Amino acid sequence: MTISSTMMEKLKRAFNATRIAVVGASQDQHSVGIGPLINLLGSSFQGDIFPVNPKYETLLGKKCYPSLEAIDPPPDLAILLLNQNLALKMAEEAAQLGIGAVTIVAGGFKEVGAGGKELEESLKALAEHYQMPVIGPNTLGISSFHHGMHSIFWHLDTFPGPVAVISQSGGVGTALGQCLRSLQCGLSHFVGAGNCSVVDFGDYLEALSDDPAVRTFCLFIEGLHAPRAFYEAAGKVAARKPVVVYKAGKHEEVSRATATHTGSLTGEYDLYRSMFRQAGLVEVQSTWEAAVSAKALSMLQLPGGNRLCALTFTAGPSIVAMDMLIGNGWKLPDLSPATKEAVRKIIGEKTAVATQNPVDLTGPGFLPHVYSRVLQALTAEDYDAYFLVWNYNRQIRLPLPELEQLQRTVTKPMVLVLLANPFEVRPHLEECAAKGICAYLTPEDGAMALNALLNRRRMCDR
Amino acid sequence: MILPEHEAKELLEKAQVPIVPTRIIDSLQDAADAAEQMGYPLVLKLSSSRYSHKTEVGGVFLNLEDQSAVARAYDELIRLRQKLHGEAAIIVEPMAPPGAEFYIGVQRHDGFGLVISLGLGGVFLELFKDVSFRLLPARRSDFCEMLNELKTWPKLRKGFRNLPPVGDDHLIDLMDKVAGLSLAREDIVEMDMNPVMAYADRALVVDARIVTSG
Repeated sequence: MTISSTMMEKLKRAFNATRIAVVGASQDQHSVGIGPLINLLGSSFQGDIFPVNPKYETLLGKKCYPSLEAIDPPPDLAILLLNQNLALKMAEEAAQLGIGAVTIVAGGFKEVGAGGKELEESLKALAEHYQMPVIGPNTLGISSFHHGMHSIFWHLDTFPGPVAVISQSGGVGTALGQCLRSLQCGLSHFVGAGNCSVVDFGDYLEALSDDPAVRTFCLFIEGLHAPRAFYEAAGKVAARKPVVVYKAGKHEEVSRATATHTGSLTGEYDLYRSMFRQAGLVEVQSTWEAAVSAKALSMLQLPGGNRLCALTFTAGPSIVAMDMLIGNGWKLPDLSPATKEAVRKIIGEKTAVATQNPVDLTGPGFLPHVYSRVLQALTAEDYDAYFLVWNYNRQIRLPLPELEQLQRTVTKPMVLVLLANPFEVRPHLEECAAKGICAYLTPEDGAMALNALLNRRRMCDR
Repeated sequence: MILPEHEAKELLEKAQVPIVPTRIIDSLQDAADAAEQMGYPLVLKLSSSRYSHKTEVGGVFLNLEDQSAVARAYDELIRLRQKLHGEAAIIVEPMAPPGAEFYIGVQRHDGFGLVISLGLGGVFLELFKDVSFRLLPARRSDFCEMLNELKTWPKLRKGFRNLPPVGDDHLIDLMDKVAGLSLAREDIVEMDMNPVMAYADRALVVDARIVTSG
């Protein structure tokens, strides 16, 4: 933790704010000043919203206040949609009024060089003096979706769900949110960490780690100015909840000159990687993989081990997936003679079926009652996870009710790969999400999901 | 400040890090006494705080099989010492038998703090850069993972070509001791042990450089 416990309390309150001031609010459709208002009103925020701008009497039907001082009692969070110089002044005013926390969206701090650096130092000193957490600067802001506190200033189509996104970049953060949305997975929180001048990554993790709405954390990191503090905070959180991390900026060398070998051998990314692993985080290599992994880790329980069973009626997709799965340590133990016999009985004598693992049912396997009965037979065996491939055909019913039932009874992770396009099968994907079936559209995505589960399992077993 | 090799090894030995026995010699008689105790083949080296890359300056004589080879190496090192660094020591140690060669390093990093590294050692360190890292303090399971992260480990473990197999416990113990030393001594800025020889029944530091503050 890099902030004091007083600041931590105020930060937690900001995430559960019931009174929010939006300073620099505007009615201009194309300004950032309208963003938080639209998001808060559109997400049915049940608390009080206080637009602040001396130019208006009302904004989007809300009473508009001339100043922060005019709001009594002081709000839990003030979002400052002002330029960097005004924001700094307003932050001080907010602190003096006893406002719990501020978000500064403006850039122009340390990222622009000398003058900005001084400004950022003033901001840090102010936060320290008044013990007031500052979110950002240079951020979209924060949102807590489970109580409708969607207060970032940019558009993000999502719904209340299990994943807390904490991103240094607003752009990558929203991309993560959108990727998750297209996987039918919602967000618990969105945090634009921005410059992390006062509140750092580890602080956000700690502030949200007790929140039962958060099942999984999904982080995007460009660079940390206090990696050791992050390591300590992230390690504690990862011991309790899965933390997925995507790191950019992999090619910077540590520029430190050293007398021995170590310096020249150590790329900074090597240290990040090792640190992530040591802290028990699940590292991924793209926004998409981050979303795929976060969804699986939120929806499914962890496998007890690495014994996987695959079921398909088309060979290729499972071969593609097995390359990735076996490469990550999954094993495909053969079926027992009894199960082989059971599968043969379900299929009938006429069709040649490969009753090995992966189980490729070919012909009759695409009949929903055959597929689900075979799966039921397979669940009688001691596997740790199931990888199911279904090639979509609109003439043939998807056995989703059967899968839901089986998943509930076997309590082992099952990943469904539905070979289909997202436009055509959108209702089915939504049905999967509603039934708790973890579905993806490509064999690679399904494999990524299971790999994330196994990686997390390994972290927990150390 | 870079410690001369014999001082670096003394520091390691006090911390119970297994090292190859090393002794300062001031005469040919000392060398003969060492040979009697250690047995041939021997290694003679210049141990200097100024020249830590001693192979590059011709300060290492390996595989000295008998008394006359030792005498020639000793004379060369005396000359080298006069030329390079009068305060350097001449040290003798038994030639370590062939084994898997590792590199172990410790570094104090501005952001990450104390970091330990493990790699394929010897001359291949900089060629392959097969290295893994962990922040200190670390658990035994972390040291074990560091080994498993080395691309060369699966082959080295079983005994690559003519080399003996490697007992991972001994290497992990050694790393644990090195970690303990670096955590206990805040004045240690960097450590660089290469090679660390690993065998089935033991692992030991053959060459070490330690940089201290002040």
